[in-house]
Amino acid sequence: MKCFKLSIALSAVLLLLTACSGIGVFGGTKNPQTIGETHQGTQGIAFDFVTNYPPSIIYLSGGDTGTNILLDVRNLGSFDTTPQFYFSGFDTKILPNMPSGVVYSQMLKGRSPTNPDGGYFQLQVPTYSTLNVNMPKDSDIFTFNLQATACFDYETQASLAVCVDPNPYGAVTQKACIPHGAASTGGQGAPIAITSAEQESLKNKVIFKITVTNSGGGQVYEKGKTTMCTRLAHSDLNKITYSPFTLGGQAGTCTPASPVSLRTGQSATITCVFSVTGDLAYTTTLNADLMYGYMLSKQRSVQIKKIS
Amino acid sequence: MKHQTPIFIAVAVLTIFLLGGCSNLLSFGKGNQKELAVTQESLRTGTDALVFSFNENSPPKQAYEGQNVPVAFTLSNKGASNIQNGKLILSYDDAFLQNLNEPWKEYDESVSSSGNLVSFTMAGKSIDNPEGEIQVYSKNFMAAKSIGANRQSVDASIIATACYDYQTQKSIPICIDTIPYQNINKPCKTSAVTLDSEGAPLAITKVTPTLVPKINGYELTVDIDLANKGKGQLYQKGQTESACGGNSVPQNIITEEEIELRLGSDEQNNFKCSPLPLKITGTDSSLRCTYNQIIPISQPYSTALFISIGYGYSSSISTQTKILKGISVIS
Repeated sequence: MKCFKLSIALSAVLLLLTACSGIGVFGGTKNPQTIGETHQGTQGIAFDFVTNYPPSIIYLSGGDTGTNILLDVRNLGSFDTTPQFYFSGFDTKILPNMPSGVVYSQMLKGRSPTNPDGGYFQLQVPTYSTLNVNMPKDSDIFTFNLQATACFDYETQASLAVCVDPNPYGAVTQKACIPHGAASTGGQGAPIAITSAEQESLKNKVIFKITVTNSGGGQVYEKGKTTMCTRLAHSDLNKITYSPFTLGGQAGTCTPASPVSLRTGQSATITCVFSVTGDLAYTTTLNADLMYGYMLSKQRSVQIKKIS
Repeated sequence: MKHQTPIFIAVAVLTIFLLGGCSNLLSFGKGNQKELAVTQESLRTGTDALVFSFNENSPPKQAYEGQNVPVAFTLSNKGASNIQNGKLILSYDDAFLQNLNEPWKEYDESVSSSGNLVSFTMAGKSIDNPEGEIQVYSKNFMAAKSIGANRQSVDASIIATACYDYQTQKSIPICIDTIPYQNINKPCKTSAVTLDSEGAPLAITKVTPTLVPKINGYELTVDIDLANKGKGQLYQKGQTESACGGNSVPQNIITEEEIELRLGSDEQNNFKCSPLPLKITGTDSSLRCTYNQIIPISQPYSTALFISIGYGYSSSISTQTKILKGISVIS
């Protein structure tokens, strides 16, 4: 009885240890093995400041801080891309060797069965030196929000299984499948996700009302504008270009025409009409290829303190 | 059962520690570490400058005719600015108190100040001395040999008035957002900064930067709200001798030469302010300063606006000592 109680208590402690450290004794991440699994999730390029690079308080003795800014950059989506970064939030006369323009990352491969974690890169600025500070005269403290912004071209390549019934009002009632559209909550390995495809079947025609949602938490802009993403105009924002949607390899007619605008920056609806032949219901794929630019920002509050 | 109790206590203690590690419930976490590195900027708080008081029993509450009356006071510079050649003058009714023409002493050392006037130079709060400098001055006066045949006692008032030049200085972070209508994630947005105190009696209470569109960029204007939060009187800088000498000096005036603003790493004042000279009316006043360079369009950024305002300041304290009729010895 004594041993039983003791083992229960020790088990509880072990559970706490596991919860604290995230050791993942009972789980851990499972590597995706198939294309279907790598085309999941709602992230594309993901990045964050490396802990303590920069530290929240930088002590300055002389003009050199002896520290850098480091970003961990990952491609957690399924499309290969080369993100570019720019840094803002500070007076470039006070931080003279911070890059005032764009800093390029290397090309990052998307997740795939052979590269299930996606590409990874660590970006350092200033690239070849440590951060210099030109502290304003008579001041010994300077506080600012350092913002790193990533801009990248990305694509959502979705393939949804749908049931097509070319003859919905026919006499045959025993059907191989029943058309009910498609819904996806997990994304397709990109920040723009097709979240639903409502379906209406007519004789030799099928209509899909496809909802496209910005699920990545960033800002969408028109494809091809990445090089000027620090000076985007209102007309460049929230636009998604799409290749013709195909149903079983056959292109349909979609409205509104590409590029489509996201309502309040969040979602858009595209209606596509496809011609279908035959009499029997069958399962096929609705394929979509959405192209856009995407912008994500991260901020870090930094205080520079001059010490004598 | 007796042997189980210590084991369970040990397990419980271990569990509490682990929970503490998870949630930072215990006070060992980094969040409770005290910031030890002092900066001059962090000392620019409070509305005091020179704080002074008579020392206990100097002057004494009562003294007899013809008796020495020691007067001592402690000066403390609790602000963040240094005082050069400040003056402290004692006023009293010389019918009841007489100056013995002894030198003033700072602690035990004689100082050059004489008569009713003390000159002093004191460092304000600094990284080396975060409390500010303290000085103690003392001198003997003498109670009148006779307060009059018909009086048993009189109350002799002693008023100490200090006059000195002082500065309010503050480095204020402001945001320069030259793309105000772009709805993107921004590191900062141009907005008013509300302040409480800067280690000086004249407080900068609010700084409101505004960016006005121009052809090639933006013009920066800064509205600065000021208030006298101290207990004394502001006067024009450089008039200390007159202010403590009983002469008339321009009150509540700040002149153009005494206002300096520097943006970012600018080495000099590139602002033009108005109205100047500024009259501090009531408890607050406002100054509008315009940067004389056009700010080009860029991503929003934080920079430092350093503001320095010079002025004269005076304040007074008073005390009383009761002078009693001397005891006659009847032979």
